[in-house]
Amino acid sequence: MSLKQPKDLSIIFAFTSIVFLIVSAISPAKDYFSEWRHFQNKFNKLVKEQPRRIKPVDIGIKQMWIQDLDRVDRCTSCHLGVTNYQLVDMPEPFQPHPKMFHDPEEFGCTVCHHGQGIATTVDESVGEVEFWDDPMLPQYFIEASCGVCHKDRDVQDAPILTEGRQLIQQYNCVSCHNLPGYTPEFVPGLDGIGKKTTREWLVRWLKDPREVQPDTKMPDFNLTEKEVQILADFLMTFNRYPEEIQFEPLPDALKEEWPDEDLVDLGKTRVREARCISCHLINGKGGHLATEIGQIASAVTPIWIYNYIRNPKGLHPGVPMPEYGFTKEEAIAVSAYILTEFRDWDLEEDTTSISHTPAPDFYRQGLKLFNNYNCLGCHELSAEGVGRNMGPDLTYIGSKPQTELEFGEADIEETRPSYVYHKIKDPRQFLPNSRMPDFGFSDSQIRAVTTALLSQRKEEIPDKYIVHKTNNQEQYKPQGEFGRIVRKYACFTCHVILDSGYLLATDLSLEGSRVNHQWLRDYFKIPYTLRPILTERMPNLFMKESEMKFTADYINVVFLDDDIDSVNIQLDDPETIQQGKKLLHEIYGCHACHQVNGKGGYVGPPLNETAKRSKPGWIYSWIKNPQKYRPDTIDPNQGLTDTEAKQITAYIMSLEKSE
Amino acid sequence: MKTNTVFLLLISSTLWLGCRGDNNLEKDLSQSFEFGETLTYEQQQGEYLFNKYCAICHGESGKGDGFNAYNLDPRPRDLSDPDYMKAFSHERLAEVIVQGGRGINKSVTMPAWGNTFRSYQIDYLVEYIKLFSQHQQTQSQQE
Repeated sequence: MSLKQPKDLSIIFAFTSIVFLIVSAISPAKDYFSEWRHFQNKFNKLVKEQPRRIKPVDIGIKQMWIQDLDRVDRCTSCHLGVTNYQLVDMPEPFQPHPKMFHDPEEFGCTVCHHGQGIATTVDESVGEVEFWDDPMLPQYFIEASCGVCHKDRDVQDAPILTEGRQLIQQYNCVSCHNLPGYTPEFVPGLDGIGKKTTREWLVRWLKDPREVQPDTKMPDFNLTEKEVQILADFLMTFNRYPEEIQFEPLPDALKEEWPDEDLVDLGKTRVREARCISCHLINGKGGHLATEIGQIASAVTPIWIYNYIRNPKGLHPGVPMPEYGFTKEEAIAVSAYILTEFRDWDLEEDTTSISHTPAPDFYRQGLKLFNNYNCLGCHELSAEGVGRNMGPDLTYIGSKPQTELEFGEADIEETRPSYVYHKIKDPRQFLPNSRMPDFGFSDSQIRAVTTALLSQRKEEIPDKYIVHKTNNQEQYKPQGEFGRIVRKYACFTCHVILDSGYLLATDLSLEGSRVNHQWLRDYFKIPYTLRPILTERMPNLFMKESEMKFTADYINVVFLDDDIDSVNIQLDDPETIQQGKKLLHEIYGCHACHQVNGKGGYVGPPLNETAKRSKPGWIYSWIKNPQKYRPDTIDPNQGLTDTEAKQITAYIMSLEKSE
Repeated sequence: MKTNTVFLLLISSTLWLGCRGDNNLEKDLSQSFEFGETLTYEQQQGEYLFNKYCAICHGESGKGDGFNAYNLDPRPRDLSDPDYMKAFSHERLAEVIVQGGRGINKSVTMPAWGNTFRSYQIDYLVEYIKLFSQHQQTQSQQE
């Protein structure tokens, strides 16, 4: 081959020039045809059509570097209208972000939304990328991202996360999984179970707890018939209580099948006064704080019921039930009433147990099952050989690599949120040897729990971002006589004092500034319902006279707020009262929710009873800003001026109790 | 220019597929219990607020049949009435919530919520409230 001819050379030269030109044009062309550039051009074109003048963007990659969080986010290269709320009518990706709780310049995007922040194409940033472990978090679980920094149980503006955290606490997930920030719940121990219940009941219970008691928190372990029988035999062998528990013999009055009617009537009255129904569900009515007891007499032996009424905290240490101050006779009466009325009338006489002979090595097999399903995680049992057998650690489940999740044969989307969601929905679907039980959650509950679990992420976040209100504070533990009373009557089951306890009823931290001393003493004697819509109501605890006096005195001098007590209001000026009346009825419409002189709504407490109960300073402070004293109250802050609030207070204080 | 358009179309379809493709779970799940249809984030937050603060009078389905409705004169507004609701813009509905009945010369039994909610919460509520009448309208059209 000869290259000497100039014509050939020039052809080759021309050809290589063209190749060189093409090659050197690839890079600028790639840049020119890049997705983000087209989005930016489109944005600038659309901006011109907007009625209001909006500055077009300079063409180029936009990037946010969040040094503290170690993030580089280029999302705003295409999401150009994120912070501009004039652009609500623009198509995606130019829409403004919905309410933003944090400055994007300070937080970036991917810290909440995940996805690949440095990517500049749609597929790589918001799409699925191999080996990129944090694809976009579905919006359905977005509140999980709030939970990474907001470590408090209640996160304002994240109701789903908050519900999930409450469920994880209530359903005692920490009994099997390591989850920092949650504490074990009270679950009855199993020592003495053989004396407490019958084998038939235990078999029914183990087969499907929700069938026996629909609102129970005990999950369904999906045991086979054989496993149920063995476990029941195993548990029935534990029929003795630890020696320190004084078990009283069954009184003669309770030995008969149908106890004396007068006794039952007395029991009925006491049960009504003690408002057992506030916490216990009885035949479909009542609260959900404690177990359903409508059929308790068919499940539990008479001697156990009697002893439990006498000494609940002895039989179940740590139970959040108050120790009612019943006399011995009253306790017998209450037991008699429970034994006669709270039965499962449909239960057929089961005679299998009489002819039942346990399998030869039932104890060994039962122990194995007991340990395998980690029963000890929730239920105490003192027996040799029992041990804990925890499930996977969930401390960092929200950032567990997706490749480490076992999807098995399940036909679902293989992402982390989908895994967690489906694991809770159908716990045994991934692996044949899964032990996790079924909690029977509704779809919205599963969503909430999944959200809360996805917030458990391993991320290096500087302390200044972390919100944790109660972490460093010591929990308030009442001491001395007051502490004894609070524990005996389980006040923290419903009340909060200085951030301790559960906020089901009133926060008592300022109770001394809130109510009159005499009213409080009377209230302990005959508690009545202040708020008609509540289901959980204050029970009559049958406190001793001395305890009532002590508690009322203590509250009256300790739980105070000087700002509330120092408010000065003229209560007996007729002109002020008249003004207050006008404001209440004609301007602020308080009677929409409160009863006034027998007319009005039933949402809040009737106002005619307020004068006797509340101190004027409290009424004034509350109506000025209800959310200050109880953030979750639905009583609106109507923006009253000082004078208006004083006038309304004077009017409320002038209302007489209507009989 | 023409190539540009084609290219844009391609991009937007990839984007659309990219966004939709991996969110099947979300699509399946984000259903309101009241409407049984997919709700946006704002509407979900609105649903939560509405059920907590408003449903006691206006009812969970917005028909003005809440537990406390029967103690009120006049009765709470039926928020699912399309003919009545279509006259209200987003801004106007927000104003009603902020100022209450007093601010718009209606019954004072509807309180002013402007000091209780923040403005974004009121937007959530409005987004949700609008669903009642839209839902009612589609239902009556189907019939």
